[in-house]
Amino acid sequence: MAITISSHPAEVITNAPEFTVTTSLTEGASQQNLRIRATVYIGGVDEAVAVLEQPKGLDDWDFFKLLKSLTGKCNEAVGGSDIHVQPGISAELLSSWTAQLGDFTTFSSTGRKINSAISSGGFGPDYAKSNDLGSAALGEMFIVAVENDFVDSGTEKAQIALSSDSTGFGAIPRVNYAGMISGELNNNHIYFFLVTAATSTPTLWVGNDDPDTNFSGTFSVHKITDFKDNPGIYFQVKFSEVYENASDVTIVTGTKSADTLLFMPVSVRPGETFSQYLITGSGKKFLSRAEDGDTLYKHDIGMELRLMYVSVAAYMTARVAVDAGTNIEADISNLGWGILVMNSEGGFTYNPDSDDQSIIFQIDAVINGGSSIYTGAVATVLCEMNCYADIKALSFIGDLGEETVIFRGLYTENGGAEKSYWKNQNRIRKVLNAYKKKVEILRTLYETEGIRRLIHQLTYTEKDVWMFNSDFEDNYREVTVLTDSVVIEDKRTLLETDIEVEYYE
Amino acid sequence: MSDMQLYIGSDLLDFNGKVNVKRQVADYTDLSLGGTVTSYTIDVPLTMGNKPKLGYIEDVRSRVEVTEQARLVANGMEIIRGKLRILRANTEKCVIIIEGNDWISDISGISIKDLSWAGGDEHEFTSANILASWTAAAGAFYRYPLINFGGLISGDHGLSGSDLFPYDFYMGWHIETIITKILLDAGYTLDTSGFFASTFGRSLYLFSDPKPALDDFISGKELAVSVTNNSDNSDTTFLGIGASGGVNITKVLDINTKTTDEGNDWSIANDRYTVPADGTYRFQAQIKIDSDMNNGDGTVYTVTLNSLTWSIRNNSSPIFSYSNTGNNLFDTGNSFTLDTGYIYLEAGDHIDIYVNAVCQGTNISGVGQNADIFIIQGTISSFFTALWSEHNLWPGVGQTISPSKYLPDMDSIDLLKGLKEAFNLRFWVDRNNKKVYCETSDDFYGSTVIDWTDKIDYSSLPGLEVIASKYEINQKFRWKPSDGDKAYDNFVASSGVPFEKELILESEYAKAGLRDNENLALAATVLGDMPQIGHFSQSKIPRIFGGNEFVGSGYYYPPFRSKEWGPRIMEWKGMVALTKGDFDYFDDFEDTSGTNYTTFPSMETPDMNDVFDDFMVKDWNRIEKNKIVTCELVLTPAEIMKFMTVVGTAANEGFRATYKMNIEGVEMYFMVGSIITDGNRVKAVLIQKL
Repeated sequence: MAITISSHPAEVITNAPEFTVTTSLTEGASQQNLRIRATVYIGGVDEAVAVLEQPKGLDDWDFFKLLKSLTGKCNEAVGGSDIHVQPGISAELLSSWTAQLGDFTTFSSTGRKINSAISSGGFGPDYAKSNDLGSAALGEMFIVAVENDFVDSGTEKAQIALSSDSTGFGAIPRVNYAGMISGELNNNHIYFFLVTAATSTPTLWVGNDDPDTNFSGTFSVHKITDFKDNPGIYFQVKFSEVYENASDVTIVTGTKSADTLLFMPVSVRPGETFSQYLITGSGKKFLSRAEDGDTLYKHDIGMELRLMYVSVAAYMTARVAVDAGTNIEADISNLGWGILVMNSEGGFTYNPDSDDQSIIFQIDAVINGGSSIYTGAVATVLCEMNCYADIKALSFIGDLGEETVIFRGLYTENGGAEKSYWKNQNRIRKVLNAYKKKVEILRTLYETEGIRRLIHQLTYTEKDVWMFNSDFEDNYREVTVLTDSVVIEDKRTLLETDIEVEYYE
Repeated sequence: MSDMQLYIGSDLLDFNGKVNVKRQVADYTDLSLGGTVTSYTIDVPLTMGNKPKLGYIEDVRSRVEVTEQARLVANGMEIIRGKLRILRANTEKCVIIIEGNDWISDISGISIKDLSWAGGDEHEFTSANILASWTAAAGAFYRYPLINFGGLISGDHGLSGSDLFPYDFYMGWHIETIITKILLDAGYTLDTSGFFASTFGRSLYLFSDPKPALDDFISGKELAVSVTNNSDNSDTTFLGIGASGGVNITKVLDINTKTTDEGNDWSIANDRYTVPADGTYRFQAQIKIDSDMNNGDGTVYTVTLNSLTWSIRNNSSPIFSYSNTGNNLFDTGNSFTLDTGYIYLEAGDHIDIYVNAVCQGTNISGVGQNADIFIIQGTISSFFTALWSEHNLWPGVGQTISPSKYLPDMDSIDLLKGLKEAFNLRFWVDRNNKKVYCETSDDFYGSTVIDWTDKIDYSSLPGLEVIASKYEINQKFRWKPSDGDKAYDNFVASSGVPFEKELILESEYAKAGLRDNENLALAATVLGDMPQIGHFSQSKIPRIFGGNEFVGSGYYYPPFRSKEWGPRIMEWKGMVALTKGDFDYFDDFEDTSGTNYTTFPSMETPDMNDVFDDFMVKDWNRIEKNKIVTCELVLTPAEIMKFMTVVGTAANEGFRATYKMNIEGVEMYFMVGSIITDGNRVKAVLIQKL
């Protein structure tokens, strides 16, 4: 009996968490009501978050809606000083390697680097084992970076596993990462390990179950310490065969784990693929504002621009180039997703001093081992210096993640109340209950094709929407977009488009 | 727009509707109601694709019944799975419901004695097993407590030291084991950490109702047979002067005189009794042996060995034996008796008496002469007889005690309901894992707090209901009356209903009147004295009396065990000190070295006052003071899923978590009684917890 995961996402980051899972078991008297169970774990939660079952024959699984319902807005408060927001990470956990198993004819290492691991002949597994990585509680996430110098010329390609066993590699529970691209580790690539079975002595193993390996390279291991309310979700699915046996006892067997993946709750436009947003090489896009290509930043108190990206690269650089020529850069230990932030108050501050000054936001994956080749995503931001009364911004989760749309200000404001009445002895209505609320109608500040799409997304977003207003105590207030249709006949009508929002005051 | 899919097995039906599913674990407006998992009716269009999947139900000639499970999936999440029930159909649509609580119908109508009990569940009625049951570890499947059924087998009555035999005891059955079997037969397992894993839960026993043989069994079987002639069982040998030698009888006792044989069961030709029917028998046998080779005639022989081994046998295997040696063993007039006590025999068994008597010695008389040995003839010297009384109607030693015979004929669902009512239990079924969680109300609702404030949908206002308005002011909690139990009736007449808890609700909203919360299935056993063993004025020992007149003054108990009483619940207390009285316990009538006991194997019916304090008081405080809130919520699929199956930790999620909600500025804590959901929105009935 065996479970086969015959189809799964092609990369470790995906917006389509879909699997095809089959079982070799057959329905019969001793295997009644045969079904496959999917137990879903996500990073930061110390137990399963969902258990689903489908009878044999329904082999396709799609976890998009389930996982999307578990996502949230990045809980990093606006106005902070960070240039870059990403999940919180631990210090480097990897410090050394040893040849734990195998017939290595050559094995040497220096710190995090395996200088050479060559095995030839013999039989059985050949693995290098890391130092004890500390502890691994249920729901904790390890991120392993295979750095740029990794080379694998062996007949049997190196694979990685997170193991709970510090001494052997036999009948031990281990999280195997079987989903390496092209069956082998990529250099400058990150891999995820969600802990679904706690252990006190986790170790990372690199090698192969068969001899004839020949690899070298530097690795890095971090643990995530803050998931930032899961704008992206690290998840792992365990598939099991479940049936009632001849005695009508429920049997759960043949459990097989899919690889840990990072789910991003985004829907790409028709004609595009999610890989166009994975920053690994040239021509890639930021997630948010990706449809626009460039965007507008209104310098105002509390206003903040966030650009979200996803990448599988280990080496990253965040870079902001002002057209005046100033570059601000930050090296990033990539954890899969991150957000570049610009505001008027924080450490990474740029206060434009003229209209239409441009700033280039850039996230670069470093390739070919060099530090000078930047080929990642680029977004140009135009700065708006005009003065508007009551500038407003709506921040929401759109098709491609967190977005911010600037509105030129208040168009109409309705201070309203929701009331219920009773009639007194004079037959006049008296207020029984009254709740105050406010309805505002906003109009857009500028017109682009991307803005049109964002306005449309605003009308159907299922997630919460926040409105920036410097009058609010913390600048932002949760609102509901009441508008459910947008009609734009020509470019000018976009500037006259009304967006009606409601909020409690 | 509907996002629901309806499957039968793995076939997806054409369906574009919205269906609500109700899942309930408790109804605080009527605590007697339990869990429910069922869909509302579903209109399924009879498209060309659906017709074969629904067995062409619209065609009156169709005899196809759909047996595969139905599943309703919303947002990729299964919200109900279970038995498909087609209610009606026309040419356009078919109306169905899905029952997720089909496990209840699986066990309903099945008597607990008809569960799949196997050989390993049986035990033999033996003294060793009875004694072992007194000290067996918690969870023992059966125990034999001391119950005052009336006259002892020994007939003893006194201050202390009365003799008790195995036949004075009757068995109780471990409830946890029965529940586990009920669920297992329905394909479910009982979670091992719930009520029945608690010390109290594991100590509960179902004391069997009586299963005596029919009265006919002890009629028409009188038997009294005896040795006809001295020569029938004898031996003679000639010993010359100074010669040594011996005589012996080694044979099945030859019995040829039938004084009484109502059933014509004794065979003179084969010298044996053929058991006419399965049941409990008691036999007595006596032999009187004479030999001139014994010390009484010491001037004639010097005796070197006189020995006797004899036995009452069943199919040639000794049941009871007697062995002895001694030079005076065979003096004239020495008789030997054996009493089998109450033993269980099966039809066709052959009972006989086997004798091996040996005399050896030397002739010192100075003359040669015959030495002889013989078993003395006559109905009062050497005989075999069957004894019959009411005691023969009850289990005999060696009888296989199987649950399939000795458990009460009680519907499985009635036992579950009886226990649920008694101990305020909550049953929750994880259908995916086919596991049943059974907890007391207090333990069912965990302390893990989940904040649902942001989940409330104020499109419809939360409604409040005063729980107390559903209940009468006067509430009585009692066990089922013990029908046919004179001890119970006497107790009620003199002291009122035993173990009864009376509660008067203080809420102004409670209805006038009385509600008698009498247990559906489980009866009580009253406690009292047991003068038979000198246990006076302590009233510790359970008693069950039949309708027979009491023995007499000072002997305020009937002579025989009752043949009618209802199954009753008992709590195993272990070996409890007898502060007055004691008894000697013997393995059988041939046992001459009984063991004195100043403790006794104790089972008692739990007092409803204690049960109320331990298991109900919190809920009844809620009923008195708290309210039910009905509100609509918007939950994520992962949150709804936790009401269907265990996702993380059973005690911290779904129906078992505590929910905090801030309603109109007031923070309150709730338990969830039921939810109705279509996979997106949830209408929840919440019970104010604090």
